[in-house]
Amino acid sequence: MATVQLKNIKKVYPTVRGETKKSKKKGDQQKKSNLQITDEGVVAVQQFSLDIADKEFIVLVGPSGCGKSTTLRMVAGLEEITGGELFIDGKLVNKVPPKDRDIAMVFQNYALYPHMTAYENIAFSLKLKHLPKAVIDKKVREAAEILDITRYLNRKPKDMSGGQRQRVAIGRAIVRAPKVMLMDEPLSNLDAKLRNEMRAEIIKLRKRIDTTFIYVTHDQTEAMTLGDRIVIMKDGYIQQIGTPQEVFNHPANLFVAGFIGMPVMNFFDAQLIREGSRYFVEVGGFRQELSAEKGERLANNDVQSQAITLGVRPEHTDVSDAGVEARVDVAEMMGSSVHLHVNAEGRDVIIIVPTADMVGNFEMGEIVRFSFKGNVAHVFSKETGKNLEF
Amino acid sequence: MQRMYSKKIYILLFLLPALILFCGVLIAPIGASAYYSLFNWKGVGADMEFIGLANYKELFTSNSIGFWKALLNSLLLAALSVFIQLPLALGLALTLGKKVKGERLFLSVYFMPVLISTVVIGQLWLKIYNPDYGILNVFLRAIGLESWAKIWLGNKSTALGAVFVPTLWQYVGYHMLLLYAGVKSVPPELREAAMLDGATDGQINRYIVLPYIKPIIRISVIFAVTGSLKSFDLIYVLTNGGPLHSTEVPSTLMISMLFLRNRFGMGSAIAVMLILLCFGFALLISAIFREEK
Repeated sequence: MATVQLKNIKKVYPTVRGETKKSKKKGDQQKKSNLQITDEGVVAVQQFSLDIADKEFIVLVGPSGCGKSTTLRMVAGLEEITGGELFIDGKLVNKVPPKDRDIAMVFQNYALYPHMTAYENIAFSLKLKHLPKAVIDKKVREAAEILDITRYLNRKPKDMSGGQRQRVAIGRAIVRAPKVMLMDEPLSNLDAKLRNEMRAEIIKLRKRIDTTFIYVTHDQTEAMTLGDRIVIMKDGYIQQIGTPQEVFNHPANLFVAGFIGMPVMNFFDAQLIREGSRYFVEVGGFRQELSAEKGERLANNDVQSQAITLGVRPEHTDVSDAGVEARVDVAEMMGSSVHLHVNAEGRDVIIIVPTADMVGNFEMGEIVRFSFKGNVAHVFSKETGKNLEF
Repeated sequence: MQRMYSKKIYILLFLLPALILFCGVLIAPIGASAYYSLFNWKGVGADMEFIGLANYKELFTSNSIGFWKALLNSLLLAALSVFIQLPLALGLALTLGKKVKGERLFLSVYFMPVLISTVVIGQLWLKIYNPDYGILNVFLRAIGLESWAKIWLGNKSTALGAVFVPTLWQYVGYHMLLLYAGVKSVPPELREAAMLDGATDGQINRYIVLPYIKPIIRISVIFAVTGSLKSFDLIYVLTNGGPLHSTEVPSTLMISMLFLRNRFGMGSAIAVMLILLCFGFALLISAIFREEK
């Protein structure tokens, strides 16, 4: 249990001599890896500031190469911090070695000691502390009980399934009752069904062990379901910090809007029109007034009429008589709803239609109209991609 | 393809070149040695007398042959190799495996003696041990330890030690490279997990790295022991088993039996014993490591 504060954290990997020139030549590759190469080296994380409260569950989420794992490894002490300050429980720990940080970490590929049994793996840290055997045994069995792995305790990692190994890895972490629990994509090596099960287990576990969690994932579903707050990262920068509800309802920019939510948000080229204190969006001849709440925020920022990128989530679009005209490409039957892939205003758009509301089927090439409400339309600046409400 | 694999004749056909080579250069000479060891033969001419196991009997009972002394010397070398050379190599491998500055340079430097011809190394150490101008004696005299200066290779009491030092030195780099490869194969997350579990560098080496590279340590021990039993070239260049058999090892004894004393049968018997000893030790070491598992 502890607070964690990251103040303006920066991580730069120094380039090996001669590498900089090479990288500069390979401009395309540079873009692909999302890494910024400066004179200092390759910048993996920058301007990372975050206050994590005691017992909070924080999820760092973002695409590959966004710096989320690097940030986690800096908290663990496995990566040196290039700039900024890291405090755990109010104590500056930039130079404190990992073993003295009282932190436990669950690795993506489990990192179990292959020559030790599950029991020995879990007991290892306690053995190093020279705890009495009886105490070690009690703690290991308690952890095993929580994770339901008691019957596998005598097995070596190679004789266990992925799910069992992951439980042992979690057991190894919780047995120490660490100040901060770090998890680096712990579920990404599991199959979909097991991942769902383990996700639920982690939620239960979190209630039982009651400590501060920092969890890294690239899966937004995990982020949304597990986190008290989510930190969305891209190219080494924080894009937005907020509760799952906040980032879903009020994405700070186009990247967050596109990253959070499944299926992804629909984007349109549209016009924002200000009429006094009222705001309207107009797309494909369809005009919708924004909600008073949104209008107020825009007015506070003194946003004027302009061309914008409009974002509307598929689940917030309705097929209606009046609205934006669209041509049906594909209708995907998902059971409780149909995902209607349409083309509107030159963009591919998804409309989610609940099967209960459907009258007949959608045919390919059919013309439909869809609309949306004023409280679910997100307006983004065409130039910066930022949400104009912020 | 499936049908082809199922036909054993094809399998045999494709294995044949390797099999012929293996039999021709390994099995046949061993068989021939075993055969000749049953004869009293000078190595030339048709004057071969079948004497059964008499060569072996003489080997183990006769004091003048000096097989026991030679075997004892090579076992001593094996023990020194396992208890001094390997720990040294392991220490170097563990240190270099931790991303030390100049890692590659050190690797090359330590491995260099393995690449140099043994004869050259022998000549080099002959110069070092030279009683008059050898750097060892010159150094001892320079620091006022003149009484310590000796005829290192010509003295019965110092020759064995003087021969062992370069033998052990030459192959430290070889074992280091084997073990270094092992140390490098330890997944970095295991070290990191152990670090977070509170392990110090020493504890990581003891509890994580060493158990992980145990199969390689086993191979290294087997190579060190069998290499010591077979040791020949450096000793041949430095002392040729002398003075007065004090540095004799089975291989030098075998050569002298075969080519100096023209006792081809006895030489073959020593060769067979060497092979059996190497096999026996390799099995024994494997068994010890397996038991520990």
